[in-house]
Amino acid sequence: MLTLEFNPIETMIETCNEMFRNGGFIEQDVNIKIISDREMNQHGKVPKGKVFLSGMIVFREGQNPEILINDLVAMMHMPEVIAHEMAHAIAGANAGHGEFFEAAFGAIMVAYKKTKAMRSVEGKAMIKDLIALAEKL
Amino acid sequence: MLTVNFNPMQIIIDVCNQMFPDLSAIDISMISSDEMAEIAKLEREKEKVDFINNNEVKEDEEIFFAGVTMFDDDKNPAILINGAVPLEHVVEVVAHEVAHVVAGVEAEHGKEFEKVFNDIFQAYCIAHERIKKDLTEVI
Repeated sequence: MLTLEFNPIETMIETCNEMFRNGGFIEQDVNIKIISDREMNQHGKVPKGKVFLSGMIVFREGQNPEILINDLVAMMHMPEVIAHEMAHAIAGANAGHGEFFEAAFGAIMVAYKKTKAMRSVEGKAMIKDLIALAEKL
Repeated sequence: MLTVNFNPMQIIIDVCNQMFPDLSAIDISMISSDEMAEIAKLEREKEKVDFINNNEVKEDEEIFFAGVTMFDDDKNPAILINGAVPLEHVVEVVAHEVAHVVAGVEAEHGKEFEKVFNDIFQAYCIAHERIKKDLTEVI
């Protein structure tokens, strides 16, 4: 059985869902689509090779926002790109990269790092020790 | 609710588990490029002669390890993937490392290894196309 010890994409998705599960800032569902660099350029309407678009969010009237991620982004950078686009979803289409966007992005990244630490080998061992200690008391 | 409808990493793992249900427990870990560079350095020291005699790398050339399979007699093999590898290429790296596990450490990059790798990659491409088609129909 092959298992991925730590999946950065799934962890970021679960972090966001945990943070905003009671509705909160986002009323609509948001879907992430991982697409090729060529498709990304088509969506962003930029000529190939001019700009590297790692991610974007598409707001369409009457529809749920959709996050597009370039599959050329390294696995280790995926969480940051998802957090960036999710911050746009929270701040809204007209907020740009302003104060509200910055605060949302910061909050998501802090929560992600916390989840990541808890899921690391060291984090899991600490939780196990804590449970063992609680059982003793 | 945030969801992802197409995750190549999960598809390749599912494909491998379907193809090789008897595979021992193998963990895939994503590590940083610095950690991978350390492993590359150690491996290079260990197999210096082979690397250079096979003309795979020059003596002072830096090696980029995208993935590595660690075989240990006492433990199950472990797969390490360089976190700097783009998601698009991670699929191929996972297929490559799983092929090493299935073909065995002795097979190296020989014919048996190549056959297993091609079988995995072909199965992935079929699964990929099927999922993409299903998603297009839904949309």
